[in-house]
Amino acid sequence: MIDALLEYKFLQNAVISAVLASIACGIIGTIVMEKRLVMMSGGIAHTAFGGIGMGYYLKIEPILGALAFSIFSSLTIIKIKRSTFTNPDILIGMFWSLGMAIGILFIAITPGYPPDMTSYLFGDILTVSRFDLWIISVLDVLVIITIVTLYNVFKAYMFDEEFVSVSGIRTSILEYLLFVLIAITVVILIRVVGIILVIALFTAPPAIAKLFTYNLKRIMLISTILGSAFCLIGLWFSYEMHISSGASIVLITVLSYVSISITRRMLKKEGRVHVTSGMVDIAENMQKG
Amino acid sequence: MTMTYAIEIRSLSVYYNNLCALDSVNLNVKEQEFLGIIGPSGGGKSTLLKSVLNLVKPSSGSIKIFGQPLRLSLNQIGYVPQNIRFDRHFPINVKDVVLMGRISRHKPLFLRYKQADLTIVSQILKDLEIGHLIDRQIGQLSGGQLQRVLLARALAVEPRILLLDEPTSNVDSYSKTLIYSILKELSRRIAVIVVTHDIWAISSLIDQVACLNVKLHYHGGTELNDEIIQNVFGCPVDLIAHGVPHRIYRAHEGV
Repeated sequence: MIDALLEYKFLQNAVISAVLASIACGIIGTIVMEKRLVMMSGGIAHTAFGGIGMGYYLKIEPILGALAFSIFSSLTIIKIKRSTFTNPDILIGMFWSLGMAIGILFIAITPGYPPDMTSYLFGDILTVSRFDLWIISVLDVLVIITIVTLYNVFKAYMFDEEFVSVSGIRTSILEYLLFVLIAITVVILIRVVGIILVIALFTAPPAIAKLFTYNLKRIMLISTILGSAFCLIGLWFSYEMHISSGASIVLITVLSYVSISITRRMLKKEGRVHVTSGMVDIAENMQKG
Repeated sequence: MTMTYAIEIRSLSVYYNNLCALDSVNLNVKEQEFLGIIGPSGGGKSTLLKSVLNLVKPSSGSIKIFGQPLRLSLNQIGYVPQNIRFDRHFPINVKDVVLMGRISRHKPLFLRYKQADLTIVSQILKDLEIGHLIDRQIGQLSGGQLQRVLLARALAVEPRILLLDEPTSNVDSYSKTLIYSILKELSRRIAVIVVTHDIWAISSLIDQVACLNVKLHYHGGTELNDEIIQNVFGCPVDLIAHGVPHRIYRAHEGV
């Protein structure tokens, strides 16, 4: 595969997009896990399907339609939640299906032979184009800049929203911003693993990282590294075995989570690990005295 | 010249949809006052605190902090929320929790804590006897230690008003004693307001007590009489006093 990688442009694009997607995913996935927004992210991903359908219908890049739809839907969900105190679960459920329905509707009314949607639903990292790569890079930079600029505020907001609000910071702005970032990250991931498989890549790397550290920055960093590793291994697997890249990436990701959890549990039973999580930090604290 | 109060609440009413949580409450708190707010659950104690913190919008009435409107004076207030509502697995250590108290001193964009912030934080932690826990993840703390961390965070604001919501629930007796002795000390300089159902624990410390059950039934010295308690709680005194009534009420005749 290494020879092929040097030779074929599409493989290079795939590798670059895998790493770029993992950066945004590692950072935002960690926030999603800690803020318990996994289902929300799933909902946002599925509404993006409506945008992809619209893209085909209007003959614009489907990924731009997905971006517009996912940002719009995430902002609408918070707006409705804030003004009516509706349970967000209900809104997520409705938007989830509504987005898919709109997508199917657009595909149906688009003249001509219906396009193949599987690459958006299940991802196809081997078809990432130059244009996709540009969009992914720009969105990635946006996510990184926002988080670097507001890291300490976001950390405080994730831990105790009320206190941050009392400190005179408008938490509603942070909430809107966070949802835009989730929407952006979802769109980045759609090309890599697809709408339906986004959630696994959002949750598994941070969950594994949290088994080893209680330091937020390190969780983000480890998630990014793990995400890249899973994507690249999955990509290789997909290239060699000729199976869908989205599916192989998700399989690798979930299998890694399961095997790491089981290994830790077994080590714990043997008494080599004393606590369920944060063992690295605790070991450090013990050394410090 | 009229006196400027630390907190001046004028006919404050709060409705949640059609449910009245607070009904035209008037309350003045002096700058060096140790006030205990008691009342049954659902009596609006937390709503009152949240109104003063600008977390709940009043339906009518006004709140002034040192004569200023609320929005301009939030950085004068330190707040200690109930310790039970936190996710103990959240990846944050004691230092970073307490540093949150310094947020209002900085601009939110590119917020980086300074050495001065760290100096203040470590001094406060030392005063609360938890200096050695500074790098501990919050899940590795006892209830009493976590409560002291939350108090430390409120003190890092360097507040002129300190608000505490049930500071002794889920707390060991040593932490309880320590927290109250620190609060007593603080109340010589700043206004300290404790919301609690644990009146017998604080009655010997507080200067003033406010009894709240939707309406403010009483605000004054700590010697309550039966009638007020009846009004506030609508139940016999023993239920709330747990057999130690004389620490808060005057001994009644014929009992």
